[in-house]
Amino acid sequence: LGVAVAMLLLAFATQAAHAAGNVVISQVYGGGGNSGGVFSNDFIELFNRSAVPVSLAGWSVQYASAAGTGSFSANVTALPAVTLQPGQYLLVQQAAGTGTGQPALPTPDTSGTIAMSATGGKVVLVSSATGLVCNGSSTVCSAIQLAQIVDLLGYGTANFDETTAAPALTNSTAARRAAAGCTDTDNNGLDFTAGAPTPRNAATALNPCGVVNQGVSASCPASFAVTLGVGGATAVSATDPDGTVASATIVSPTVAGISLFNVVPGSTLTGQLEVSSSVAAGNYPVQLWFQNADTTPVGAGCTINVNVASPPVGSTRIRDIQGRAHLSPLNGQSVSGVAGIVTAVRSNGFWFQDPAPDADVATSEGIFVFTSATPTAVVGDSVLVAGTVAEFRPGGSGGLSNLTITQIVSPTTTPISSGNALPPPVVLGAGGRPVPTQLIDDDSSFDVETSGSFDATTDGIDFLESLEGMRVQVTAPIATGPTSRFGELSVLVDGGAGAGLRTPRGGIIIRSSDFNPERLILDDTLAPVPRVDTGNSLSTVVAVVDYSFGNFKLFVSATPAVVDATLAPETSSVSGSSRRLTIASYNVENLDANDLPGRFTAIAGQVVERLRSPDILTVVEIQDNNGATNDSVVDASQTYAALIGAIQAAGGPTYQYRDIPPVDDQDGGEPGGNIRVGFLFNTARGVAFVDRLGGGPLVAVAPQLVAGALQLSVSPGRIDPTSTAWNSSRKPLVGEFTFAGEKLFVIVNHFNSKGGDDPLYGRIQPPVRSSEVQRVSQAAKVGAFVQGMLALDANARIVVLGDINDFQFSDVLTVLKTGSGLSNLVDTLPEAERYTYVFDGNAQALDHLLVSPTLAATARTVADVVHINSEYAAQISDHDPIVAGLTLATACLVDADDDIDRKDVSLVIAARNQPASSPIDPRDPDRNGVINVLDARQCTLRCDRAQCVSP
Amino acid sequence: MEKNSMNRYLRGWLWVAALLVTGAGDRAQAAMLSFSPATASAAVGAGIAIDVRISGLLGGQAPSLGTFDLQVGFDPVIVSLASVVFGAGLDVLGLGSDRGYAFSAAGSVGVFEVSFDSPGDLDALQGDAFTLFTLMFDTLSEGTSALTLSVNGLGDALGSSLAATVTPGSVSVTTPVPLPAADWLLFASLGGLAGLRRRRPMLLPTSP
Repeated sequence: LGVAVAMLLLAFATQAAHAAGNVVISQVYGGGGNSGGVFSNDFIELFNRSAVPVSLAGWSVQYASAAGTGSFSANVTALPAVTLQPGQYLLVQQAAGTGTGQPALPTPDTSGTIAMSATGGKVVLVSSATGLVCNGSSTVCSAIQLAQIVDLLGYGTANFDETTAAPALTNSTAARRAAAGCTDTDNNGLDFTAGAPTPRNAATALNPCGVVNQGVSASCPASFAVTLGVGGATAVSATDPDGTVASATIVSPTVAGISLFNVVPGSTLTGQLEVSSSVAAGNYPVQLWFQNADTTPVGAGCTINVNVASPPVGSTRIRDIQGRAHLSPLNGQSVSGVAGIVTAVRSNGFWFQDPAPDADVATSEGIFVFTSATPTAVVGDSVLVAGTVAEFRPGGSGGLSNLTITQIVSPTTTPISSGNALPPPVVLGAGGRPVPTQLIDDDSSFDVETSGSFDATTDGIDFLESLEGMRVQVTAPIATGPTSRFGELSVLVDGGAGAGLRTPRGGIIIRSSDFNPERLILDDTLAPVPRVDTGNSLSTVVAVVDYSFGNFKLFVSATPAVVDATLAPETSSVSGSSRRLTIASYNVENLDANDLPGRFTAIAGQVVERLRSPDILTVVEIQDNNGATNDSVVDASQTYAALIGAIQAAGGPTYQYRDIPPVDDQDGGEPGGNIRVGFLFNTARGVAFVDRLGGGPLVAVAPQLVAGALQLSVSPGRIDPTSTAWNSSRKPLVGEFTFAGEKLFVIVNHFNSKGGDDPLYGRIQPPVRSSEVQRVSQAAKVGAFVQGMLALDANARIVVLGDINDFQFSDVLTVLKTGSGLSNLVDTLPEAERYTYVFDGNAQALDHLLVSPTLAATARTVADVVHINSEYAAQISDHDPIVAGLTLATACLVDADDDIDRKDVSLVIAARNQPASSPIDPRDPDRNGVINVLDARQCTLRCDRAQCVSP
Repeated sequence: MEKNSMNRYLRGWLWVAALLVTGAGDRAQAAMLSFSPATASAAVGAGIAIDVRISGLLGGQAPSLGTFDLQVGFDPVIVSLASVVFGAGLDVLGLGSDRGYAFSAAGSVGVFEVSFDSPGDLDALQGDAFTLFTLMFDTLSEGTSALTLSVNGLGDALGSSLAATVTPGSVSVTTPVPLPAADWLLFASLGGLAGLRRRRPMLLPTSP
């Protein structure tokens, strides 16, 4: 067994012994030269009870009194640099007594001057020549000191021993280890007996102890240097040639962040000493102890001097990494010692910023450090970062069209200090950097990363890139759209001062040449963004600039307060009359019979209260009876019934409806939903639907003249439904109506969506609008159909409406209008009110209502987009409905107002005896081609009030 | 109506007939348009008032007259039209109508009135014959001027075309017997009294 010292006073059970070999104290005699002594000198006898030679170089024997307060260091005898062979003794002579005539010891192998007690004392064999400043009792020996004690003998009244003390001695007895030194059970009381001294020296015949259990040998580096804030690990091991090294422990005082891991027990135990990045700079002597699994475990220790030091500050600044471009000039390169202050932390990294910016606004002073795991850095830390510069292209809706984020990856972060003031944010807008208000990019040819110039003050995409990773201040933000379900909110700085064309309700309008780079999108990644509506205002907020899903995002560092949160829903300004029809288009966003009743109630409430129950209500995105359940159901009668019932319950009319169920899964939209368009109409207002049988999902409707009157071949009918223009898209539905004695044709549409287009802030500039191709062919189809009707009856009253999914200034609307002569009533609205949808804070018109030339000329058209959804965080649909008033019965409506009175009669009289200007000249109510007093008299009969008085 | 007079009407005014709404003839009564007096006479320098009347309506029932637009022709060398005074037949409640006259050429004036009264009121209150308007001529020189009447439009209370026979008239202007200058004033005051006899004189025509 190896030498062990029972340390009952210490928390850890057994300790001692250094290095291999099992050299033990085999005999101690303190009565030398005393009265009755049998030798002239005291002595300590050592013995190599192992099977291998053991060097004693640098070792010592040390003595302390049995229970005194003196340390071992007071009595040290260095040992010679000899190697004890297995079974060999070493005799260390100590002080002589005062007696005379006693025989000398056999030739000692070395000598000291320690006067040991004849009755009780403590002797240690130490693997060091340095005295141990401890005595095992009144001065407890440290772990390091214990680790240096190879063997211990306490005898008599000794208060430090192996398990129990050896017997008390006399002037004539010595403590003698049994079996001539071979026995070692780590119990002095058992291993030793008192008996006549028998000093043995190196010349004494060897006394091999036979097969001896071998101990543990440790292997550690003497020192280990790591970088502050980085940390590291170094391998350690220990071997027991005939056993298993079971454990490794750190026995030196605990240092937070220094630990053993990956410890694998075995004949050779392996493991690593880890120094974490959090360990402060300094020197740390780490003492390890390895212990085997023997019945009486023994072990071995080692010391590693750990040194933690700061890395040098590098010459690369963050702005050098960011560069004046979308891609870093150092992309792919290693950087080190990059200095900055941590400004924000997220789950997989942190942003830090150079507190000493240069004068070049084009180069960002902040950057994201991608740590993958939760970073240890905290806001306010001054750090040095080393790593590799990389351009990370986030996924999301933009996919490969997204811009990249310049990052430092595989970083090592060295904290220098903490609690620093953060670099002041860049103020966006007044008093800081003005936000571009028109251009996003005007110089790239396809790839903004590799073409064009970097215009950090004029082009929105370059402006925000120049702020990537930086702290910015958004002063007095005002929302241009609602907070999205992703916690994103588009805002303008400075309460909207200096921004482009604003809606009367606080939004901002897109124009063909202006997609509003002044929109800044707040994001809730770091702190919640309040749930607000368009036009609401917030308190000033600080954020860091990031990018994802096709947009730069400003991650607010704290939730701004809501300053103003009012936005009243609108009510339609369009009224009907006996002559005037109201017609609306409403995209109800995937409505199906399985939707919660509350959704129907909400939509119905809007129809009745906000749209004022249009006479014809065209609906878009009606789904089949079970919605997204992907089966063969295409019928939507239950969906219509639920909607109609809800409108009735809300106090509205009892609408009738018409639609044509699509072929299953052929019209796009939510899988299984079988989305379609349809007609609701109010017969109580005199609206009648002219049913012409024979229509179906694959039947193409055609206009025809019957008895000189234009009619549809089938009603309702679908326009050219097998054309590829409608692949995976909704087919337009055409219906023939009558109202106030006039015929009206209505075409409701839902063109394919803008999904798949490049984002405004994408890599591709100008953005490619790939989805537009199909819409253009759809517009051509509908336009051609309208042209065909007008060829048969130039005065046909035709309304084309619905979710066209493109802007009033788009090629799609141009194609729809060109040739057909259709007029878009959206174009008649004030420009600031041309919106039915809000996308990323951009107010835009996707829903349109177009009328044929006769309607445009005669119907006194009035359109109104009723803003009830698109601007609201809590929206029932994502679209606002559009409503129009069309005066179909125009006879006698001569002057500009909408009533018939003496002024109209007078105007008819004024034109008496002249030919009518057209078959629908309002001054020719009898439609005989001539205006005369008979027409005037007939008009008196159509007056709104008796005697044709004016209101 | 006399058949041959209808034939004359058709022969003379085929373009007017073309304006008739199909079926209007079924309801056409024996309406007649005429001057009163049919032949008038006055001295040069004197004024003369000639009524244009409709007759042959049923009175108290449909059809009643809802509108007229008549073209009056005269010889502008012999007479000139000083004013037109409208009757009350198309304004049975005195609440107003839209009426007026306009010269289309020398010697041709269009006179129209459109009633704002309801068909029921017209049918009930209008009467079977009444003066549409009174032409106030000045006499210019000696001679006889034919008075012609053509129909631009004549409609019943519903605005349907109403057929009528038209009887022309004439006015003869003779050498004046010298009179005190004050006689013209007397004439003017008589005209005013004539107007007062009507329910509500409307001396001011509206021009289109």
